[in-house]
Amino acid sequence: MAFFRGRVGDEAADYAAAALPRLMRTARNLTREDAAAEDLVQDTLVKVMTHWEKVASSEGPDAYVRKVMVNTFVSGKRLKRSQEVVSHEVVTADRYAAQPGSTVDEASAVAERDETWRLLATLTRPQRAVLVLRYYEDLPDAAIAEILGLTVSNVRVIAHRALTALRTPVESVAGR
Amino acid sequence: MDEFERHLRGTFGATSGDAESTVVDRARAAADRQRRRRDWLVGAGAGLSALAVVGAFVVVPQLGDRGSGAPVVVASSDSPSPDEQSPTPSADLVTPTPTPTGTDLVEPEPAEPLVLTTLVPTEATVGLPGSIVQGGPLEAPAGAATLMGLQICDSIIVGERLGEAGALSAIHPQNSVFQTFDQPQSTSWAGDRVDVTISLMPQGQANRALEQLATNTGFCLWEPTTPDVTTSSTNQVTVELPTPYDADGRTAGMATVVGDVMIGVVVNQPSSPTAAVEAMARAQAITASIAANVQAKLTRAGG
Repeated sequence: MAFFRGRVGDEAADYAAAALPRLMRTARNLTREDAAAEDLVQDTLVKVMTHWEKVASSEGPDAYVRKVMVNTFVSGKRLKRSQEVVSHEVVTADRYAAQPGSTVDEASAVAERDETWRLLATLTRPQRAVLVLRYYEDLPDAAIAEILGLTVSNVRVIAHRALTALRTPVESVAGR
Repeated sequence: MDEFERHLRGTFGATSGDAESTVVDRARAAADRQRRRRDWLVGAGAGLSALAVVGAFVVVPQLGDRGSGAPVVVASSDSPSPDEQSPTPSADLVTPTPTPTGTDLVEPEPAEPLVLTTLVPTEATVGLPGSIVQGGPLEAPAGAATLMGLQICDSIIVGERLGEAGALSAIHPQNSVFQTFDQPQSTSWAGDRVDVTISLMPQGQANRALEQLATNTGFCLWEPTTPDVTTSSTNQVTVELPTPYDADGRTAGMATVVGDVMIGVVVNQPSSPTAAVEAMARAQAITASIAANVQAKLTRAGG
């Protein structure tokens, strides 16, 4: 076993560069704020590069990195208050804002998505993590439970409560 | 998957992956610093080990000169064997059965199970009525950080920092529950926040686990900042961040032990001239309230 590791190698840096867009998407979905997402990705990459030998020898580096990121988000570094929840103004000013000349349907879709982000921001970190892992990363509940150190039934309860908190207000905006 | 879940998937899927290219460079530079620091520590540790070996060669012959001829066993610490570290996980805490005495002629009633989730305080108890707690108390059978938000529990990272022997002697909870109480103010997140963690430790090891927390040698380690730690008694530790994470407030925490139960409370107090003092006072009050509840249940169950 090598005790002295020296500087971060090119292999780790190449991996980080290739994974960056994917990590940023996950981080944005978790934090909903660009600066907070970059902080989260950077913290994750520091941990990954510091322990690259273990990451590279693990069965799936992507899975390891995802686990580091989600746990950093849920129970690790405390994000700045202002970065934990996105204000309504931030969401409406982002890329989802209705464009000039958009149709009623498009405007309605924007309003629905806008409301979704606003409500997502009110969820707890574990709730957001479960939803992102389930609906963005497409992971089964068993895999989510393993990542978060919870039982499968815990994951289902968290997901159910989170969906309940989101569903009714969003569907009322959508007129369903 | 229903229509709403598809909508949620579409919402997440539309997120951009754009990033500043400097993110990787900054992370690489920070990782380089951490690896250099660790290499230096490993080198220093190896040097100290070599000195210890040399020291042993100087000391042990003197012991041998006593003429016993028996092997000399030198214990470096009072760490329990690894076997003692593998309790069977349990969702519930079974309170201790009273020790029978010679006058106990009636059969004691079975101990009442004490469910950890019932020990989590209410929003009113933590002083944050109306706070966001939709998640409910979460169970973490693998254990959770006693001082949530101030520690990291990643087993690989903890193992790297403590070394194999250190990681093996770290005491793990048999089960934990935790709850975050958030109270955002207006549209910002500058409100109060209280994190509560309640863990069942292996029988008789809670005080040592608290000691490990105070000395940063437990199964969770300070991250990203090492707080100022004060051990106020054998079963109480308070911590305070020397600098706030952000300009919005101050953070203080307290951990205490009641029987085999470890309680941890972290309070983030919104910015004010007295935020640090108030954060500590609130952490102590909330911890005391939970501890009293635990003690009452233990006493009641124990007869």
